Amino acid sequence: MNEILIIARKELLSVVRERRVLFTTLVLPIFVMPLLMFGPILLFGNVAQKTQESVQRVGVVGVPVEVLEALKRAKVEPVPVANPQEAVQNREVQAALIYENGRYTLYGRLSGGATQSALVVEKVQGALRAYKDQVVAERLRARGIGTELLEPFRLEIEDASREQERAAGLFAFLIPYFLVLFIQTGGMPVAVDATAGEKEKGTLEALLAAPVPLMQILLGKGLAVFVMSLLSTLAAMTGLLLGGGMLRSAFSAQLQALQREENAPQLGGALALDPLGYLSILVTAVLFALLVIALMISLGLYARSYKEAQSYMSPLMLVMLVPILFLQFSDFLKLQDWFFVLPFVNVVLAIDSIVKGMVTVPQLGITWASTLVFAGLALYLAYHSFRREDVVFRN
Amino acid sequence: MLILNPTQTELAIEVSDLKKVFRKREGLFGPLKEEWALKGVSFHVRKGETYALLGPNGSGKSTLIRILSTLLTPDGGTVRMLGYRLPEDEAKLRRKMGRVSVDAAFYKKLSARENLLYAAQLYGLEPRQAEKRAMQILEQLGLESRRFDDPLEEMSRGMQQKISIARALLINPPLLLLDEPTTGLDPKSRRDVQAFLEDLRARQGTTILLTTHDMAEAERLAHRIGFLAHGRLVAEGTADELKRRAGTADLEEAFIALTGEELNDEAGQP
Repeated sequence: MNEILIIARKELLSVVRERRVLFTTLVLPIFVMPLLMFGPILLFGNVAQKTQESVQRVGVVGVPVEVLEALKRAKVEPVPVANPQEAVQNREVQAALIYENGRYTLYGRLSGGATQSALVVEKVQGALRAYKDQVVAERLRARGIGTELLEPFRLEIEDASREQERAAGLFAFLIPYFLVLFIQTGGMPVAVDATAGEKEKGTLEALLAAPVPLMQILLGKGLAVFVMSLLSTLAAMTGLLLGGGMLRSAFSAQLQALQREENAPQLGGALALDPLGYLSILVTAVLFALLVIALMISLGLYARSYKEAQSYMSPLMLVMLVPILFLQFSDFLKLQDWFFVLPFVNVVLAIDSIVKGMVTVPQLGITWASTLVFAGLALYLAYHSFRREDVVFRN
Repeated sequence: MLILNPTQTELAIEVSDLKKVFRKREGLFGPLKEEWALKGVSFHVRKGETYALLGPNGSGKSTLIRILSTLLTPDGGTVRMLGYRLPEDEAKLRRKMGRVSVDAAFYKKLSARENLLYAAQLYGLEPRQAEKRAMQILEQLGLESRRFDDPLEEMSRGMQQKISIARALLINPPLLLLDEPTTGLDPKSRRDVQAFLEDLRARQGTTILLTTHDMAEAERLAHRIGFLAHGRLVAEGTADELKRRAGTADLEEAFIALTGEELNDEAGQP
């Protein structure tokens, strides 16, 4: 045990001396995470609000005077254009409206994510809808019919999600993503330095010639990687929770306004878990970290240099991210218990379910057991690599 | 010429018919190609003796040192060191010998003190004892105390190599394996390291097995010299014996005459 701690301490000391690594793994996440989570939302909210309040140019062709007046009331400046589609494409106007044979056609740049044009299209659409309602109401009144005829019943939609699921918002999706990201990026510098780095520096031979069993060397290195992974993940989560909280209070008015918007993007969310939920996430993350760390050490040992190790570890990140992409569609899948046996997929699904308060004991048990088995296999692979002369002396 | 006490007959290293083969696959699915690094090497080193193995790159010197350091497993022959057999007794043997590799391999972001402490603790020294021993060695090396905590990357190659040797001495090993300890050093650093080794041998009577390209270094430091070429020990003896046998005036000519090869590089000046 003593040797494990001695080796882990040395590995961590080497990292502490590399200020660049410390900055990128521990300091940067604290500041980047809140910006990553809330920055785009606030920016979008701000832009959306400004779009609503300011006046935009909209191209018009053959639009009747009453509609032009309705557009002006909705803070839109109608501008006659020759070719509406071209005018929108060239960004001369944000949107364009044609009236032809009793039909309105509205042009906007609607591809490529959130565009200002899309917001203006929404604004024009709203103005037209209001004008249409007004015309219909007037015509009904002229015939002595009340407007209630148009609305024989009301429809209200209520969110029936569990409290945790509702509170979590984007968290359910983002937590597995950030765990994968920070467990790997936090541990990678130590994993590379402790394996391929030692080979490249020539220090591995001295270490292997020391009277320390191989497994203890491996565990010492693994412990150092684990500590860095954990610290990096904690730094990111701290940034997310504290920084997020600060941003939320600093921009509370904008966020509340956004929440009222029908089409506003879902906000960052907050975890509403009981202590058992937090503990479940922690255990899942720790087991997942063990698996990732053992894999990184195996790959690092096989590599001949820092560069080679990094080129092996980067695809590992991609492999781990694939299940997260599918997580977006998890609601369309009928979750089977055997999904929780699949490496990486199980962790992502389990955390998603924990955050949403939907996880079952068998699912969690299968996830933990299978992750532990995979971590054990990866550890054995690393140990086996360590014992092979053709791997250790591959350079 | 260095002469070992003739009453000393106890052996520190006995190597008999040592063989090592490396197998490498040609391409992804190609056949395994065998390359014999050692083809039956036999020699012995007496206690307190300094034995130099001379050979060009690829002659098998580093493979031999790696086998004796317990890093590689031999494919044939026997090795007995300080009464222990390899590979059976490797755990016990590791505590009895120090090893210095060719490139003063260190954790260069760490200080000299931290590097020595780390090594000492791996060899089972208590932290306080390790600290005391590390300080003692750094002082012996002539390193100013204010530099104990400087990162090693800020020190000269010569000083790094001296610290590397000092690291191998932390546990007072009766046996020291030195793999080209002065290769790549400038002439002054080379002289410093050689003087340090002479001083060490005089004070502690450590048995040293040394590999080198440098004829003058071998002649200066070693009681006996072995010529290694293509994985075989071609000749051995004192420097004078080898020169006599080859009928040459200097050791380099003797090497060429007896092995049919030239020492290809790094034959620096003492």
